Amino acid sequence: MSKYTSEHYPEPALEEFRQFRAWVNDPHEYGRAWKERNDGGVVAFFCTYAPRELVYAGGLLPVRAYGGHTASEIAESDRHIYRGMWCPFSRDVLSQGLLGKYDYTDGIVMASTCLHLRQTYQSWSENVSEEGDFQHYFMMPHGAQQDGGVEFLASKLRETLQAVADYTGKEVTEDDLWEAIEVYDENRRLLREIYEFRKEDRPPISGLQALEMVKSSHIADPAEHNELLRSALAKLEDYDGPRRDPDYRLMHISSENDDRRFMYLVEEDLGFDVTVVTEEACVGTRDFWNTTTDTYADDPFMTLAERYLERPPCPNKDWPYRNRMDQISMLADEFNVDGAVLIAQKFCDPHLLDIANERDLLEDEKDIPTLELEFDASVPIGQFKTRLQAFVEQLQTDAVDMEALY
Amino acid sequence: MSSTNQVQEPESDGNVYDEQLEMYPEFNRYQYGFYKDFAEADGIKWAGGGWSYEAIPEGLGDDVYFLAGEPYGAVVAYNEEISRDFLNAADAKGLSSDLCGYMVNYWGGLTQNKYVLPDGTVYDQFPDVDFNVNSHICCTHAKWYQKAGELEAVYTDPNGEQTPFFGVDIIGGPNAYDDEDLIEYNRVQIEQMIDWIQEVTGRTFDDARYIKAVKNEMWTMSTWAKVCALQKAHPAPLEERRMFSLYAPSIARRSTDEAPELYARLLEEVTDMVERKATVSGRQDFRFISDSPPPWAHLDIYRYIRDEYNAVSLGSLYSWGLTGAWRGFDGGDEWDWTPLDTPMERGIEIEDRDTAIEEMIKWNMRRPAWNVFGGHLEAKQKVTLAMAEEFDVDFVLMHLNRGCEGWALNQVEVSNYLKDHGIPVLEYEGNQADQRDFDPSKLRQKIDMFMEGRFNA
Amino acid sequence: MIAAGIDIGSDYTQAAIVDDDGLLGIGEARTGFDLNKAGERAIADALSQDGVSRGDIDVLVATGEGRKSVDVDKRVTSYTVIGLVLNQEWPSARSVLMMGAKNAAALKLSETGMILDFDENDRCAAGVGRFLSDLTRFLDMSLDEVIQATREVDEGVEELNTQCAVFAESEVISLIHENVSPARISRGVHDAIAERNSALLRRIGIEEDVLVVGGVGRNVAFIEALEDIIETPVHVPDHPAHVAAHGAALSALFDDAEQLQQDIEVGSKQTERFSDSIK
Repeated sequence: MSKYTSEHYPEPALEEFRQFRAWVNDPHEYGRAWKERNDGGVVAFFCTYAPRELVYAGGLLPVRAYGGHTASEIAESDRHIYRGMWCPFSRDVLSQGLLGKYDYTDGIVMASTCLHLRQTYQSWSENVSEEGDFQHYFMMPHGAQQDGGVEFLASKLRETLQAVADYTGKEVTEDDLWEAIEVYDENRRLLREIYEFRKEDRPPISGLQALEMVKSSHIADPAEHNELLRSALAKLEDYDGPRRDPDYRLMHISSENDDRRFMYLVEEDLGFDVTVVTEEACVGTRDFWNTTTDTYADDPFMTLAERYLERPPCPNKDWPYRNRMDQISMLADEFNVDGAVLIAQKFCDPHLLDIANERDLLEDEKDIPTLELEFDASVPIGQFKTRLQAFVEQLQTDAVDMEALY
Repeated sequence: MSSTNQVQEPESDGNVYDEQLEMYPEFNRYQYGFYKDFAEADGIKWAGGGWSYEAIPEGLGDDVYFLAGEPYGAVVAYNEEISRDFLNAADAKGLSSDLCGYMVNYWGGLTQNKYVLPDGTVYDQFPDVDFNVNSHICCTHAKWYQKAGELEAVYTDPNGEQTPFFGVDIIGGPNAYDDEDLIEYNRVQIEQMIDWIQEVTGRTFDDARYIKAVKNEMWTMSTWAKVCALQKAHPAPLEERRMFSLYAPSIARRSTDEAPELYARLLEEVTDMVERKATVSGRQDFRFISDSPPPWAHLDIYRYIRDEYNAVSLGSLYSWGLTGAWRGFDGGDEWDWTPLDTPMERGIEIEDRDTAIEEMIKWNMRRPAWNVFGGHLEAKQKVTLAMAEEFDVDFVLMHLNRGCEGWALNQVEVSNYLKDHGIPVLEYEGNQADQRDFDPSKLRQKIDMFMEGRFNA
Repeated sequence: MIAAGIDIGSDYTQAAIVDDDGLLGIGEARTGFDLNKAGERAIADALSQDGVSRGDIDVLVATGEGRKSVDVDKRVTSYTVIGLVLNQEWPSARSVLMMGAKNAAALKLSETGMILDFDENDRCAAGVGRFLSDLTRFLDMSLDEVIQATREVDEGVEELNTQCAVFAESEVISLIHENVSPARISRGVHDAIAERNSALLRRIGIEEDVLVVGGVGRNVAFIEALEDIIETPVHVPDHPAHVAAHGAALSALFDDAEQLQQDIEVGSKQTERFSDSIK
């Protein structure tokens, strides 16, 4: 199991992906170095619904706080979060904060999303944040589909930008905001363009590399990240390096999931040629699939509000009606998926509430077998390996039957 | 305990113990009535979360019947055998028991196509619901009726159709009712909902009926708060375990014409009790409060702590703060557990639809429970500490409620805060609606440890 | 006066005999099904060490889970008696970890031995002592051998998922199959259990002196692991498994005659109520 550390992962062919990996290996080093290079602070967020553009417009770097995936560290938050009911991610993130891993950050920002991360924010605010830190928690529409939601969210974003300006002591203009929006939009466009290559029969990048690429977009300055994405894209358009050659193309549909050990297990250690070709998850397509539109071309707040409400929803925002299944269906089709792993963090209610519908959609309507897994901060490799191998064997059997038919 | 309704004589300490509450059977009758009507009456039937804008569908006519999911979930949970069947049925359908306890009982009942009354009477057909409405108080509860509609299509609806569903995103919180953008957001949705319910039912919305319902709701909630406020007395006239029946209509059916009158009569009776230093309980050597709903299938733990230690629960953030109307932060930083007068008493005239809508929105946003569900830690800390201090409690019983994310949010931090402020806290893990998720003997041990260790009791 | 205290746990019952001068003897017996007999066997085991006979015992006090199910003169909860005895024997004790086979709890004591706060592993098994003793089965070593091996390595295996005891057990088995050394496995498990319990201690606040009582107190490897994690010295009183029984016995001595009489009356009412309830 010690081969599950990043030194053992297959080395990416492209240097841009090697850089993404390095950033993911030590996000704190990046954050600290960024602060030294720039005259700005770093603001942590916990959920991808946090409006990063507003923070960035103020000259601050938004970084997503991630867990440490180390069982011995996660209990640190037991004094603050009810362990018997809160998801491992929410607890792991807070534990990292309590252990001082994010001591280079200068604040936190959150829009009201799932209750577990609200707890993380509140406990972080109470026990990790220091006097004078930037702290901004605001209510956004709980469901993404309501009439009046865009206007309401826009009003909260306006307040948020003012809070950023108050914190930095500098004026933050609408032009600053438009610029920030453009940088993040470009990041999303580029990610999506690179993802197109995962649709190929022989994808040039693995699921693990894609995960590192997306996760690093939550760690690095988007302008810097964009440079690497552009240069990677150019190389991929004219690519002649090693490719995956999967017999089985999988997707995962997950709660928060940044677990590289899991990806390594699936893609390198099952004894089958498996590649994860896409995902419907926040460390993934949910976060970058849509950019802003020009519906509200003269109002950056309405523009952003629309973008955040229209993005592929997390289950907790897929309300009151289920729209999310269309996105899952589209991804499964376009990426030509053979099987899907449905992953919920332990106690993740929003995903638990949707899993049955995901399963029905994929198995009954699309004939795509599914496997359900429950994640903890550190996944039990031995047990998951057995289950995943059995799952792939099932895909193998189904494929064989199809051949026998014809 | 007296077996007659006569007023008891005071004890040597000047208090009157074990008094029977005359309004108690009235509340039971009312509650039983609306659950029964939901099964048997003809008219418009809708189901939804208790935090929904209950007054709005009242505008559809005289024959509107509402089933609030949470109190109904409590009714089911309280009937242990039936609840166990429903929970097992839900499990069998892959509906995770990690989810909201009320919701799982509800869904389980749908898959069995059964409906239950408080006395355990079971109907072999879940009533035909015209529409479901819910607000989004937490990310679990919000999806209750998404799933319910899907289950109804399979198990209960005679035509195999999904029940039409409308969501209203309310959002409360400390001083939320001062937020013009938020009020506007609510207003836009409400206008849409009014159109929608007319379309779904084919009825015409009657403003006058709606306005009356809005006022009824306000009277009910304001009066209930006034009843709860009387718990500051020594002895406290009521005891929470028996207050649950008195509290239930204020969440389950508060905007009828009868509700405010029931509560007014209750207030009169309890006020009289305070004057006579009377109480429904026995000696009150210890006073305590809790914050979340209790474990409905295991209410005997209240009896245990009362019998062993004369420790009486005055109430909770749940039973007072969900449906009582209180001054609260009132634009400031400190919490005030003084009951809030209705807008009518404060000189606001509600005579047209627009005013009714606006006042209804502000009124509903003021629920103290929004400070809990919205995740506002500092607010919840202040609200809870103020309750402990204003009501002069000896300790707080903190039910770490695995059956409800919303109520459990920030509980551990609030517990820390209370302890830092010198208020002893006894925490225990349980589940409001899943009887299997509970260890009564361990809790009794814990209660003994706590009372002995902390109070030498 | 001579008082006997019995601590009735689910697996074992401990006994302690005291007189005004101090502890006279300690004993232990498997609890089994008949709790009264278990108490008597534990007392007999304690009596065998000194010249006292069963008839010399003036007061019998019960504590522990089974205290309400036995015929005794007085009953007190285990936290109270632990506070009482530690205040006597180790007055500087402030943060106390009670580690039993199935239970773990942390107590905060005042200067006078009152329980200021406590926290327990409510219904989750992660972190209880049984998992440590189960290692003897998995590794096919005696407890002493396990402890010794654990102390010989600096680091355990890292990837134990210890949020769930059931998962952790199957992980240990996987590790064995992968030929990881027993010492490293054991060290990993000890560290993980210590980590879980350090969280309990932190919940009530870590203040010196920190003590561990209960059977697991005899496991030196565990104590060292805990010290490492909380970066504070951890002490273990003599006879850690008998602390509660000792405290129970002392509680009778400390009562004055009138208090003792009241306790006995309360005790007999409790016995009556219990007997009625099981009819």
